Amino acid sequence: MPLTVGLNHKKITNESGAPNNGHVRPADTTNLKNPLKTKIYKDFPTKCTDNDDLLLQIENLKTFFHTEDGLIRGCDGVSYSVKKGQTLAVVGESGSGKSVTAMSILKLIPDPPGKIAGGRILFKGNDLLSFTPDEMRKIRGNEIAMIFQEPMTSLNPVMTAGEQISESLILHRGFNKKEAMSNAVELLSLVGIPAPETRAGEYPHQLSGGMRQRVMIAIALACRPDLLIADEPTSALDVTIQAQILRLIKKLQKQFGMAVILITHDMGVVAETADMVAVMYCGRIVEYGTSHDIFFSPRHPYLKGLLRSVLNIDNEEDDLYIIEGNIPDPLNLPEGCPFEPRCPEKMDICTKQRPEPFFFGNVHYACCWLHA
Amino acid sequence: MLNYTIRRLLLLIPLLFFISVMIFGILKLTPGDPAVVLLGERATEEALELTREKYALNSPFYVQYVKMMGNFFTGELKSIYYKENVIMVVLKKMIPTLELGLTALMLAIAVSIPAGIISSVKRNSIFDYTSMTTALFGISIPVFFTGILLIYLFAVKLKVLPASGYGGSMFTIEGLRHLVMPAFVLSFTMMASTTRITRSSMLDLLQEDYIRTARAKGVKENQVILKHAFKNALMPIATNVGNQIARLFAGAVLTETVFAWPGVGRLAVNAIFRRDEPLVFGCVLILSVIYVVVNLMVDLFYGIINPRIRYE
Ligand SMILES: Nc1ncnc2c1ncn2[C@@H]1O[C@H](COP(=O)(O)OP(=O)(O)OP(=O)(O)O)[C@@H](O)[C@H]1O
Ligand code: SF4
Ligand SMILES: [Mg+2]
Repeated sequence: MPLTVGLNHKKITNESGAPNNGHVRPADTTNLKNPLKTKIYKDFPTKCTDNDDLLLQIENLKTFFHTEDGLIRGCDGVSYSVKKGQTLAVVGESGSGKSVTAMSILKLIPDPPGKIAGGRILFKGNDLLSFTPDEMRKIRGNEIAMIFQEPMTSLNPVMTAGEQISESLILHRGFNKKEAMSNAVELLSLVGIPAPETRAGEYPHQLSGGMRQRVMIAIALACRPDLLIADEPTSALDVTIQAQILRLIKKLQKQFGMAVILITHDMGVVAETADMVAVMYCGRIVEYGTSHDIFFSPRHPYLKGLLRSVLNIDNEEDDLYIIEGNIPDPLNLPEGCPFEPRCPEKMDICTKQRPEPFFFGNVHYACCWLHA
Repeated sequence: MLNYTIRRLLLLIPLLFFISVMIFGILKLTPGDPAVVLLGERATEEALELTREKYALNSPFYVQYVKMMGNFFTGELKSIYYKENVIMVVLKKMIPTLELGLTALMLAIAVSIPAGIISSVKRNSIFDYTSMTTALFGISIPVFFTGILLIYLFAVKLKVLPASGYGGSMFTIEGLRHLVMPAFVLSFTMMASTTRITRSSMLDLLQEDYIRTARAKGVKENQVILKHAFKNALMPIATNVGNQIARLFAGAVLTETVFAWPGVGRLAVNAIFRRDEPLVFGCVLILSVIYVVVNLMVDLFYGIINPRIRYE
């Protein structure tokens, strides 16, 4: 059994086909139809490595889980990049590998069963995959911070909110306990928690879900990171609170000039916040482009379905469109296009061969045979 | 907190009443005539009758119970064998038992908590397998067997430790030499159980989301384990240790018997053999009081380590 896994492993790592860095096509801005966000579009680098504005660049990242049932390719050749101060939204159904990709950036994948099997994660030009655990720790919470999906369980129940915020300040900034605590109180008021002095001394169970997520944001922002990864920061919260939290993240992003990777299910949120969008399906990016590309010229049938289901673009009489079927079993992915079993536009080639990325301009691409 | 403590202490009264009735009932149900034990097989019927009269052995159950409880609290309940107040008899034997029990407890905690933590962090390592196998032995082998095995090895074969008996206070060399084997034997079962509970709670806790949060903050791995995970594991470990303390007394009965250790456990066993009813009653009642008080202390300790628990 381990032998087969090893073999598989090798084969996959050597596979080409995934976009290298997603932006290697010759410039072709002419087919841009609705140049609403042209500025961003033009700004987006064609040669990423020598661009000063580029903060994070993931190349062909593969994170696999060696489970008892077999190999799960949680993230299978993902490439995306984030510029300073920008927002990249990552969307996709549950199980599409959004969290796995994000956690791979901080190397927080539980091992076993998970392993980063290949690729590069360039942060400020350095490959995080070559970092030692000690070097990695200096990045975490300091230069890259993360907010998780589950505010109810992401705080330590036996430590006060203040202690949990102080911790990273003590670690990365060398503050003493008192300095850190007064900073923590400031951070709590920054994230909009009333009576921050009192709240700092309270334990997570004394705080509501929305408050806990605010505390999580305060923890993440304590050291003024350059990149904030927000993994569905609002999906566990009430609708009214969702909007508040998103507004808060947006405000603080502007204030600190930090880049944000926002993982979400909500296309509305994407439309509101994203500069760039990556659409994921079965551990791969199926379409990538500027927010404008994604909303005004979606190419992949999955993305079209997704937009149709939320935006109700083309048929008013049918008020709730749902993409038929379910995401395939990660242990038995179709050989060809992973979306093929559900795709309304599938062709013969789709069952046989995995679609490569096809470009529409510099950055916008979709992995679909329709555009071959 | 204070209110809660007082309330819990008051609740002990009905509980101890119930326990004392149970002990008394069981004593009365066991066959054998204390008067015969006291006077010997060849005592005359008149003498026996007189003794029964003296110790109220002929009165109805509840009269005997009330009398015994009354005597117990006024300090007039005398051991038939020692002819002395049972409370005093028990207290005198308490020091060796406490020495044995507390040493075993400390030893068990000092070994099992680090062992459990290491096992959980280095899961499926040689260390983990070794300590888990040892723990399995610890749980399944009875105290008297381990005791006899150790006596055979260290006292009979190697002749490095005394086989049994009490060597005086544990703060003397002789006392310590005598204490080593019984304390180890007594702590062995406890070690096993506490190591397992530490390991399994740590394994669970290390999967928690807040552990991931701590790592995402850049907390050092040993801090993640000790500060973030272990602090949360204190709760199940304290429960386990609390239960173990109670069981320590049960274990003490066996250990003290095997090692001829002059403590309360052996006192209770001898009292049963001698059909010394007042002393048995006293021993078991005092041990029960200790048991419930320890449990209460563990409950109160929860409030200190777990902020989610608020006593009102
Ligand atoms: N620890 C793990 N062990 C095994 N498989 C895992 C593990 N974590 C993730 N996976 C697998 O990786 C795939 C991607 O999961 P991931 O959590 O990234 O999805 P997601 O896009 O974040 O979904 P959601 O929207 O539900 O958060 C899934 O098939 C999942 O089963
Ligand atoms: S490649 Fe084929 S199956 Fe896949 S999305 Fe495109 S048309 Fe559909
Ligand atoms: Mg997720």
